[in-house]
Amino acid sequence: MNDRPQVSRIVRTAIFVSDLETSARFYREALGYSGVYANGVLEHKVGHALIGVPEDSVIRYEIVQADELNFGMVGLFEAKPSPPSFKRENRGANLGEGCMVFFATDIHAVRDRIVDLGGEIVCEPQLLAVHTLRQLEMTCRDPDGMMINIIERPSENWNADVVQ
Amino acid sequence: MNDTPQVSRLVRTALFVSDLDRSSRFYKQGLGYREVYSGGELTHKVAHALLGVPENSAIRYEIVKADGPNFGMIGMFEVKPSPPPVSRRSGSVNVGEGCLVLLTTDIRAVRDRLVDLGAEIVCEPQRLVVRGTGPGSLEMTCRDPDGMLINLIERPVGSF
Repeated sequence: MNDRPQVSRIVRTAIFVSDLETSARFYREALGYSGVYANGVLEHKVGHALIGVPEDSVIRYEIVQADELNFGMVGLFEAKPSPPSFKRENRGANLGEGCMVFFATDIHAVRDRIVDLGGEIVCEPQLLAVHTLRQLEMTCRDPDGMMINIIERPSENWNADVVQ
Repeated sequence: MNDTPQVSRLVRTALFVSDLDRSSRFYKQGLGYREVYSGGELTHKVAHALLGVPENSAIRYEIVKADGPNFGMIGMFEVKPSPPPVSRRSGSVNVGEGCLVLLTTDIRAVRDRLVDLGAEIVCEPQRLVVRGTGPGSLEMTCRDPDGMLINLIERPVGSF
C-alpha cells in the first residue's frame, strides 16, 4: 500500500469480439500484430465476474503485440454465448466509445489490408493539420465495429513529442 | 510504399467524452496521468471527417500520459453538439466494445479515487488466476463517467 499508487500506461486495449479467429486474423494480417503474448481459455470464475458474463460462459482469448515490448498490445476476448452487441447510431464517433490509434509507415497499404480483412472505412486517408503537424490519417472499424485511427509517420518519429 | 507496412504498438486509445474537463480530471487525478502530450481544439475540417461528425461541430481534445515513452496514452475528445451515445448493457461487456487495461501498484487506492471521481464499479478487486496454480493477481473492472470500460491489475512496484 502507498499514498501515491503508480498506474502504468495502457498495457493493452482489450476488445470483446464475436469470433476470435476472425479478429485474430484481422489484427495479425492487417496490422502485422504477429506476436502472441498470451492466449487460451479463461476458466477461473473471477474472469467471468470481471467481464460480467455468466459463470458457464466459455471465454477464449488471445493477446497480440507488434513487437517484443509488453505494452501497447491488443487483447481479443470471445465469450460464448455472446454478450449483447454494442449499438452505435453513428458511423463515425459515438459518445462513450473508444478508438485505438496506431502509427503506420504506409497508410495506403494498411488501408487495403484492413478492407480485405473485413474492416469498414469511416474516412479514407486524408491530410490532417494539427498545430504545425501535417500527417495522413484515416479511420475505420474492425469486423466487430471497434474504431481504429491510423496515422502515417516514419518509424523513426513514432516516439517523437508532438509539435505544439 | 513497401510490401510489409509497419504498424506501431498502440499509441493511445482515444475516448469520445461528454465533458472534457470532467474526463480530464478523472484520468489525471484517478490514474495520475498528469502529463499532457497534446491538447486544444481541432479546427481542420479533415478532423471532422475522420471522426464522422458534422463540419460545424466544435472538437476539443486532450491527450494525457503516464511517465515514459509516448505510447499507451489516453486521448479524450469532446464533440459539441454531442454525437449520440452508444447503447450498451453496463453490467457486462458488450461485443464490439474496448476496455483499457492498466497496471497499478495499489488497486484499492486507485479504486477509491476512481469511485470518488464518478466511476461505476463492474467488479470489485478479486484475485484472478490465469493458467496454472500461481497466486494470480488482484483485478477489478469499472466504467469511467462516460461508460468506457477499465480493467486494473495490481502488480508490485518496479514490475511494470
